[in-house]
Amino acid sequence: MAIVEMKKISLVALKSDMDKILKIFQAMGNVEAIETQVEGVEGLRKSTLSEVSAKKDAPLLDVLPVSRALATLKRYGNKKKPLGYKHALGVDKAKEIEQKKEFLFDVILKCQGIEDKLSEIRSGKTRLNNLIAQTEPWKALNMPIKEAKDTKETRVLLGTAGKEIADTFERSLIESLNECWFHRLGETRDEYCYILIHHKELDKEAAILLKENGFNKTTFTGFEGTPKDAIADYARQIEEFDAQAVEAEKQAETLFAHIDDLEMLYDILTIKQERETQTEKLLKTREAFYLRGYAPAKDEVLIRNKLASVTDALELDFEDIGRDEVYPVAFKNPAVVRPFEMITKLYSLPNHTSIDSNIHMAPFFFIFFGIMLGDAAYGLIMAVLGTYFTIKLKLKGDGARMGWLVASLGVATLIWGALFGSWFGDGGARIGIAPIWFDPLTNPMLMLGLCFGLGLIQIFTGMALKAWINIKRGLYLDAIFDQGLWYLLLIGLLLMLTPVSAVGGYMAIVGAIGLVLTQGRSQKSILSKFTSGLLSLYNVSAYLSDVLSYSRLFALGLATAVIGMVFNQLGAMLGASWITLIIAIPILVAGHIFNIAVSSLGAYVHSSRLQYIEFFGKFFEGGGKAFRPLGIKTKFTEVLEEEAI
Amino acid sequence: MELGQILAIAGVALSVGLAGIGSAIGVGIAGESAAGVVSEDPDKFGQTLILQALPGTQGIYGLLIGFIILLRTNFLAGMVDVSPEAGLMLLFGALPIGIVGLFSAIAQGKASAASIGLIAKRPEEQGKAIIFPAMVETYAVLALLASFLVVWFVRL
Repeated sequence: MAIVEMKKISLVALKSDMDKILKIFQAMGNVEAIETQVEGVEGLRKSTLSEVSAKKDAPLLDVLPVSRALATLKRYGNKKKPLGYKHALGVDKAKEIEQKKEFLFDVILKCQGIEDKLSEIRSGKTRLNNLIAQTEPWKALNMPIKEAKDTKETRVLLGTAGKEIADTFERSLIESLNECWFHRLGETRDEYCYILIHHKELDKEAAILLKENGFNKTTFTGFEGTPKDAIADYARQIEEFDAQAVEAEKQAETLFAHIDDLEMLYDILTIKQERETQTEKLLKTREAFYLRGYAPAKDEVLIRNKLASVTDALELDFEDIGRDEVYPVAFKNPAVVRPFEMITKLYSLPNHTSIDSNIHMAPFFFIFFGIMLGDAAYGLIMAVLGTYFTIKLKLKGDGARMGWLVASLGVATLIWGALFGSWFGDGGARIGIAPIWFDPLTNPMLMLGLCFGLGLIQIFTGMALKAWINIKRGLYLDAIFDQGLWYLLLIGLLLMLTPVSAVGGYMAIVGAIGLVLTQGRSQKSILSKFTSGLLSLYNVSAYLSDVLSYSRLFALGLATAVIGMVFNQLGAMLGASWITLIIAIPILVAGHIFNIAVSSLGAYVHSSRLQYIEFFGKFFEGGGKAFRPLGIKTKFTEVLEEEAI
Repeated sequence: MELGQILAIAGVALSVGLAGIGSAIGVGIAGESAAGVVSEDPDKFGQTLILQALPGTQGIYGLLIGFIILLRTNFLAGMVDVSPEAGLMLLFGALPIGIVGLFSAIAQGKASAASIGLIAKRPEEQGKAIIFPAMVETYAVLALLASFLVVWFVRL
């Protein structure tokens, strides 16, 4: 309906009451604190997060370790909660968690220990597996490594050489070193593993030859026995690790019993952290603090009363916001429009001096999406699923908006689908369900007319909103010249297509002359006033292309209907015996699910586009900053009483 | 088999084939970008997948026109007679979505890829990121309409 009217709030109170006061703000969820700077006042300084949180709560509990512990437990624990289940957090429960804090901290430490142990096991196993892979090719060496050493007269070498030169390498060994023996022990992917024994007198020649052929000496560390024994030893160590891992996972499973408490602790800490982040924005002296921020004007009395119930040692001021001051934007809309606020938010928030157009945009989005998906059965499915999950999952905030958006768009789709007689593509028509209004496929010209008509209505609405913004700002002449004359010209042009074309002609001419005379009014010289006035008439083509753009309503509706038809045809071609039904049903189900997914994506994208480009383009002024009050955001729990936080 | 029927089927082949090629290339281009972004941040899978899907619609539009030609010529249950002139008209009617589908899907794929880059840096701007590729699609939608009106109203 409107952008919520805000007031500037400023509060001075005792530091000892700070947490209590912030808790009240958090529970109400209607005060946004802002960074405060006061220059040149002795003794005022910014508080920092660490000094605020460090004062109590030793050992300090942070949210991060709790969420890590939760992740660990969830990986190894196994208790399914019903979908959308939330813990109820009341005063008693909060006290219980508070008392258990030390114990839960211990649980978190244990979880960390388990996680550390498991990662140690993982890296240990990787290391052992690498060692096994390295030792494996030497398994044929049937002697302890420590004995594969040089003797008095001979040199004993273990090493690898490339497979592709193996033949030449071995031949040159036989030819050049007459006192030598070698043997292929095994192979890796591209190398053979050799044991090579030659007389020490041949050291020099051997060294050159080996170097030429890229022979790599292999040295073994970490074991002295045979490679086979070493591999067996590594395998035993891996088994030990596995046993330890099972042990650690078992421990995690026993700790899983505390997951409910940990989840509640997580939320309690998140709520607290949210509050503490706000304290960073406050200014404080030794005994007092100073908060500045914004709050909705209508909540003034509520805030005063709530704070008065805590302490009277405070100075609270509400101040009107000046004309040129920027303030955060919040929407206030009836419940049916609220889901559609997401569409606007994805584009941009309106600037605070502008208007909240959600209530004007929502019906168009609703209608357009309905036409583009335009299938009663799909709409029914969306509406039912959207409603079910929103309620079942107890969605809040943006999640709930999303859920209700899906549900209401489902209703739109159901309505238009029924009007067009489309149930699962032509599935309804095949069993004789007639369209309530008309079938776009058999009457495409009427359908196109409907699209262009809706487009015209939306474009004219957009112009009216721009005129309203101008009037609100006292720019009456702008409203008359920029929107009024265009109305005259465009409506005149439209009337020229009807029996009263003469009236339309006169309207169009008056409008056009008016535009030529007024559209150059910001220019300096007479000549440029006239030329930019004349050039402005060129915008007629922009309006024309805007209207034509709405033909996408028909095209996308057509796409949904025909894809549905394709799958129905596939199913029908199989005939109607019991056996073919078994094949046809999966085809139909998968096909229609595919159609819902693809077509609703298209409908969403193109409905958005029509709002953003054709509609918002006429009047929207973006760049607003969102109102982000201090509030309660929970993941696992539902806060029952304010006092619980 | 007569010439008119063959021309009509050529129309089916061109609308489904060309638009399908375009969508395949477009979705491919966007998919490469999406995979890159997801490798850095797997949480962006859903957001980037939506953008990757956008250039896929041209292929569907092509199939749609092809299907309508098949429907009008009653191909699935013994084809009706089609005069050579009518067959040629069906063929030409299929060309807008075939040709525009081919090129717009590729262009849209590039715009999608760029928007996926946008999501990588500013995930909160999903609304804007979707609009850039959607702008390209307008022309495929117009071509679809033109094709539809022709193939639907051709007198066989």
